[in-house]
Amino acid sequence: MASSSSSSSCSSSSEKKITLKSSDGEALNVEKNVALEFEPAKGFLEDNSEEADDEAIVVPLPNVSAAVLSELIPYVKQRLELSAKPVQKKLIKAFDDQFTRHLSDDKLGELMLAANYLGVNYLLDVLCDVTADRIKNKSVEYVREFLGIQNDFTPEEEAELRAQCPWAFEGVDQD
Amino acid sequence: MAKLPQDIVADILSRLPVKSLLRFKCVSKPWFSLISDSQFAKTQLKQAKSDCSGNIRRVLLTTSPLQSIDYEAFGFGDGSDSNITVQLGYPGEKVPEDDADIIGSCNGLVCIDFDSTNMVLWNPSTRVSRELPRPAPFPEQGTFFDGLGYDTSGDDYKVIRGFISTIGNGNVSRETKVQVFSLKNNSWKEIQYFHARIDIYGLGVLSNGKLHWLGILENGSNKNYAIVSFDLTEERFTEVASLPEHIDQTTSVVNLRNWGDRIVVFNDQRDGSFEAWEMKESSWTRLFSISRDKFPEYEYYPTLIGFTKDGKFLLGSDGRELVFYSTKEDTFRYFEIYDEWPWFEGVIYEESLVSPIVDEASKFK
Repeated sequence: MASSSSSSSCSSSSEKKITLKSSDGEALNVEKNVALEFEPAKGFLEDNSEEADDEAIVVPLPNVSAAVLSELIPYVKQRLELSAKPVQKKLIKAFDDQFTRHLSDDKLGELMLAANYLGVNYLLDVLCDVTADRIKNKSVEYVREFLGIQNDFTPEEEAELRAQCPWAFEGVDQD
Repeated sequence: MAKLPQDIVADILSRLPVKSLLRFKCVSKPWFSLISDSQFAKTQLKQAKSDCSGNIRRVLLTTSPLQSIDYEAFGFGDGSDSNITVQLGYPGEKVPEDDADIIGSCNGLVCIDFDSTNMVLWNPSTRVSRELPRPAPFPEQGTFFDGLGYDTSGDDYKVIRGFISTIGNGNVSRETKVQVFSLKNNSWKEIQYFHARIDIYGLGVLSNGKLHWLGILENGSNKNYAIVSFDLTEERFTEVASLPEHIDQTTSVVNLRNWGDRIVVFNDQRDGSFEAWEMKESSWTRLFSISRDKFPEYEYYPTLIGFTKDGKFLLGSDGRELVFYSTKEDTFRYFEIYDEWPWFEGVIYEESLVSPIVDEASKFK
């Protein structure tokens, strides 16, 4: 979707570009208002506010790869545009659904880690909902596999726990 | 998927329904501890209440055996309701003989008095129960009022059982007795009733963290309905409102319910109509009025049990059937209930992990 903000924009900060440096060493140019949505970048920019030329600033983001950043940046940009308008929650929800629908489980995990590190709580919120939805009706084994969790119960302990609420194991989806 | 930090895992889990969480206690010991934690139970309940797309309310019926119904999933004739009933059996080991009295419902816990001898605090979603000590005996002749609520500041669940004697009237002050059970202290204590001329009765309903009962206020020769609230922290009663004027004791049978935090009065006018009124800042708005002719099968009168999210009314009919009434379409739908006892009560509860047992989490730590 193309941005249509050029004619109406009066905020100079949205025009300015900042450079983000990913964990794998790539430099990505983003609008300053987008960069400010990322907590570590915001902190870095505040600490370096005496720097006259924003264009010269390079913000290191050592925990996020370029691949993840290049998914995050358009999302945040569009989400900012949406929340600037008096749009209905329904529209934001539709946008979030569209963004998350085709994410692989692995990508979902990477984005959650990135959103957590970058402090983009509205995205983390949406991703947690999506993850919850994906495991809600699944078996214990599926969930361990899905989230990479080690089973540390003895078979006897697990059998005892299962016997305490057999009804919770009924009507579970196929893995 | 990459390994997620514990706080994100906890965030994801807090968005799951109770049934999934009970299953996922088996995933690992850290998950077991998290899901059994009382703080997590609070977070999960808060999250579930704020999620408008989900549905955590069910109705518990005091049938024999007890059952729980996902009444939101009850369709209007589309045949999708085959799996909405869950047979719960009974809490604990004891099978009651012939009677189950609902004392209250709060945050997923339900308090029931079986056979007037076995009072149980029960979470029907986790099926964890706890037998409560019995309150001191009450005198014989009188009316009772009950309730279950949560004291936010004390982080404590409290059961209230009150009695007002029917012996003596006019200038003679009546005997009253109110007992409050604290889950934390595991004991009953007696507190003072507040008013010589208001008799409250029935099941207390929760609204904005306070219990509310219907009462009858004696004013000279007049008897009018009043609503009395009870602060669970202060343990104090206050009179809060009167009912709409035309509802008076000579012509109406009334019961009180809540709809989220809204207080609703349901009255059988005996002139041939049923009405529901909602209290808004001490004034009243009529939700509906139905003519009795629309219930040809009724022997007695219907009671209001609750509401669906889309505004349908859930009524109990003669303690034998559930009836859904849509005001918008002015349609009824009956739901026959299997029951070995002749009569049931219904109460709405929320699915939660809240435990009647204070320390459950320590097992695999």
